[in-house]
Amino acid sequence: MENYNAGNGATDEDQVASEFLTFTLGQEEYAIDILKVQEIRGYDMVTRIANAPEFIKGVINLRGLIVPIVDLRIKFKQPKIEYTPFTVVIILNVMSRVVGIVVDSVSDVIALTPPQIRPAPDFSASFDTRFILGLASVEGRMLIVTDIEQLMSTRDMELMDDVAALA
Amino acid sequence: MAIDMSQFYQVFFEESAEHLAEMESLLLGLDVGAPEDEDLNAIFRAAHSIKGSSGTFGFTDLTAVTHVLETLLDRLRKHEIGLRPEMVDAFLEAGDLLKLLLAAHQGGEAVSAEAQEAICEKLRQLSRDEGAEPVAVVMPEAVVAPADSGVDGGWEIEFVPTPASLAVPETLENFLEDLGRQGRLEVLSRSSGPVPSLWQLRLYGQVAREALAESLDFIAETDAWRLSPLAAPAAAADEAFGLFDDAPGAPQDEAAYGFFDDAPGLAPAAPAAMAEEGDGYGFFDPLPEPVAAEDALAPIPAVAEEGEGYGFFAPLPDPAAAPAAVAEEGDGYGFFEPLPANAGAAAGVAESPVLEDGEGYGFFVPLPQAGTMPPVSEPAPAPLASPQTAPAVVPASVAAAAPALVAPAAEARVESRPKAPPVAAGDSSIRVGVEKVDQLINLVGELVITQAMLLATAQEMQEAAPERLLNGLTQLERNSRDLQEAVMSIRMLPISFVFSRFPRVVRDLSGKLGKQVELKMSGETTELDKGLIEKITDPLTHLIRNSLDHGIESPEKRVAAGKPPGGTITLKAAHQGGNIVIEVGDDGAGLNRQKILAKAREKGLAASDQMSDQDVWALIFEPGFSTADQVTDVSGRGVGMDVVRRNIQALGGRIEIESMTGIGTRMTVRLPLTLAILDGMSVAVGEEIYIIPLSYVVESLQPKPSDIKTVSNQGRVIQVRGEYLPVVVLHEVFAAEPKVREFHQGIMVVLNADGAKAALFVDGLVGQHQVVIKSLEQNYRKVQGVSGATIMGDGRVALILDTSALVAMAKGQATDGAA
Repeated sequence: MENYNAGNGATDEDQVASEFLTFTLGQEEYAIDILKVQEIRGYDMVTRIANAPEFIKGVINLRGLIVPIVDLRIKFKQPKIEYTPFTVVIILNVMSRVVGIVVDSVSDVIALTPPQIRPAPDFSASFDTRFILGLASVEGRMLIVTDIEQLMSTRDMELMDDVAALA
Repeated sequence: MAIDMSQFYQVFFEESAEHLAEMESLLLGLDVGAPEDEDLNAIFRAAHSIKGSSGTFGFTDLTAVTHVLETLLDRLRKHEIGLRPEMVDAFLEAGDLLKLLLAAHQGGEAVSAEAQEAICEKLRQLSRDEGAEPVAVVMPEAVVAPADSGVDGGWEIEFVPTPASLAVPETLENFLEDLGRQGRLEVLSRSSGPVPSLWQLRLYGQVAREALAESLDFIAETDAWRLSPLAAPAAAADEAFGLFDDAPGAPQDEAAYGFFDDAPGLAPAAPAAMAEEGDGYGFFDPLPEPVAAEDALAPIPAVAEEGEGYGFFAPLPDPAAAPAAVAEEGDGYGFFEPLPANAGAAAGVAESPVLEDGEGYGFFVPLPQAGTMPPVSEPAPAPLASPQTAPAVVPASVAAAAPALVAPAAEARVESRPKAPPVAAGDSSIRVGVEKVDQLINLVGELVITQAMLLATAQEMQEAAPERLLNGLTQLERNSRDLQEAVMSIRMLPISFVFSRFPRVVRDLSGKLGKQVELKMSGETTELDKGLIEKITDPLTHLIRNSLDHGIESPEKRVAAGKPPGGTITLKAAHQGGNIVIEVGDDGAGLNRQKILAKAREKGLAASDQMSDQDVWALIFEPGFSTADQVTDVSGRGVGMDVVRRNIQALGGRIEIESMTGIGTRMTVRLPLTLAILDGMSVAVGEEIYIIPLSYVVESLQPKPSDIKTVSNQGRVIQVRGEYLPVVVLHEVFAAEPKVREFHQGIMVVLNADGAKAALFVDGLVGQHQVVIKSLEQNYRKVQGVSGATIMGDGRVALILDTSALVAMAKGQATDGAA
């Protein structure tokens, strides 16, 4: 994935477009590698997990699999959080685990070539940008291209027993 | 053969392990005084099967050991020598060695050559020892054999060395040197480099065939060598072994190896040899003379006569002949290999083995050149003179040869039938990977959940649901439940898989401890989950060792106590409700209450004389507790019983002790039938449902406000029948929003885990279910106080409580409160 940041020169590799799923969280639009997405479904009743952080809504039964659900809106401190019949859960397949994320809405699938993804400006210490691969501009929209795998495995996601070992 | 054998290794390992287990159980069941012929034969067959397949796969170390084992067993089953107890011991040791060797081939630790040699030597010693006396009985029959087995002229030796022996050049050099010592050695052709190819040697001198065969077994696969005498006609007759003396009882080489030379006349006799032994191996060389080929072609239709014949054939270049052989045989497997020299001759080869009985395997080694063979054909005229075979071997008369060929075969088959081992019962079972079964179980679990959801939805519709839909769903429910049960039963194995090892444990240990112990087992057919079988083995072994070491007294003590000198250990398994109950009982001294109490005080454990027997016995499960006066290598270190209890509890089971001084002790282990399903009590807290494993639940009650007391205004206790139990408030532990906060409005569930009790406060009881355990860690992480999750009938997830952790929390809480 490093080559996304290269962004200069027009080699053959640069022309190979990857597909990204875009979704919105409040006013922000995010893009994630579509190969990490298993499916998209509506928000269903979750079973709360004792003493889990607020953004971990609980677990659901995904055809016999117990899948934790993370509300990214809470995680990214969105002001307005409601659960409606249109609330969407993206089921991800990351680090050979299945995890669901709650987002405001799913927009579309777009193809991006590495040169289209510009490196994100350095926010230095203000917040963790490790999971941001870069910013892409498509039809006037700014997409935050996210390494969802990196994001889900960060320690403060608290999805794993030993994040340090996997990170 | 160019087939990659390694793909069959796993099957070989599994089969060999099964054969070994069978051998061991037969050995243990053997009555040394009067062994059953059937048992001896079965043991022999097991050893022989291992030898055969290990040879095929090139595990020469296994072949070597089994060969020696087999030699002794063969003498036993032919009643040439009598069975003695030390032989059984030696056999068991050899079995252990074979297990180690198998493990070594599967990546385990290598077994030292000395250990192998020691056991082989022991076996050889045993088979030699008694050889002298009873053999006299057999002598009259056997007279011919010893005379035959030494050949004046010498031997023509041909073999293809195993890649293993080629890899170590010394092996072959040693072999040649060894031969050189026995007579004048002439090397006709030999291979160089690592590619296995045919070696041809000629050894002049008087050498026993047995000796050569034995050394050849080490460097070449059992089916890749052959010996033919180089000699005067008289000697030649024996080379084909009993081929020409048709007497069925004539002593044969253990595995009836038939060696057929390229003398055309010999071929017809082949079936007779093969038939002598159920699993005979036939070695057929191509018949170089076209004439022979023609007459051999005639009996090809006979192929169809036997269903299970396996033949490995060199190619039949004659297009008409080849299809004939193949097409007529449904089950026959033919492997055709190219033969460069005389293709037409190969046809002659094809006919013989297929005439054979089920277990006959024919291996045909392609010969590089028929032309290299002339010396071997010399003995051919000799058998011609032999009265039995003479009519069949006139190569010229094609017409006469064909019927003659079939005739002996038919006769021979009748004889061979009863001797042939029964066709493996393996036909009625298949080997399937556990993952596949687990996947099936998961899928069916999903189906059941989906079905329950459908049913719930339909029932919500009430009047609106058409009758037919409801009926269909009810039927679906029944069918899916049956399906689930059937699928679950795939994983079920009889507990004899565990029990079968105990006779050996008891035998070895009682010998070591100088005690006389009889093991009585019942209910071996009781079935339980494969996962449980694996995990229950160690705890049960420990219980049995314990009974032997601590329970059963020495013969003197027993006699002094007025008991028979031999003790009895009983092992029982039975189904009881949804559980399996395993009992380990002994008629020994029983637990010593005073001794346990004294020991407990010594250890600083809470112990008083007022404790009930049950509580006293439970002390032996404390870590580091041992009443053995001496630490022996059997037990007494005090690690064990606590591990046993922990293991059993980890499986969702319980262990109970009953004991009576002087009468004996009985340990009862209760286990759920499977690991995947749990009997649970569902409780509600707020909106959530939690499952408590039923095996930990003692009782549940609605407390009166006055039952709850506080300690230091923090820790709460509840009085239940005079006992004060710490209270764990589930909604506090899980930071949940409850519907009831007042204790007298909710329910207290009394839990017992690891010997400690606590009361769990919940909103209310919902019901009792069998739930399928799902992992929470697979996609999430470990949650304090939760051991797993399950999916309820409505499709929602419910968490399964980790009772031990909750009770431990209560303990911590109580201590904090008291402090």
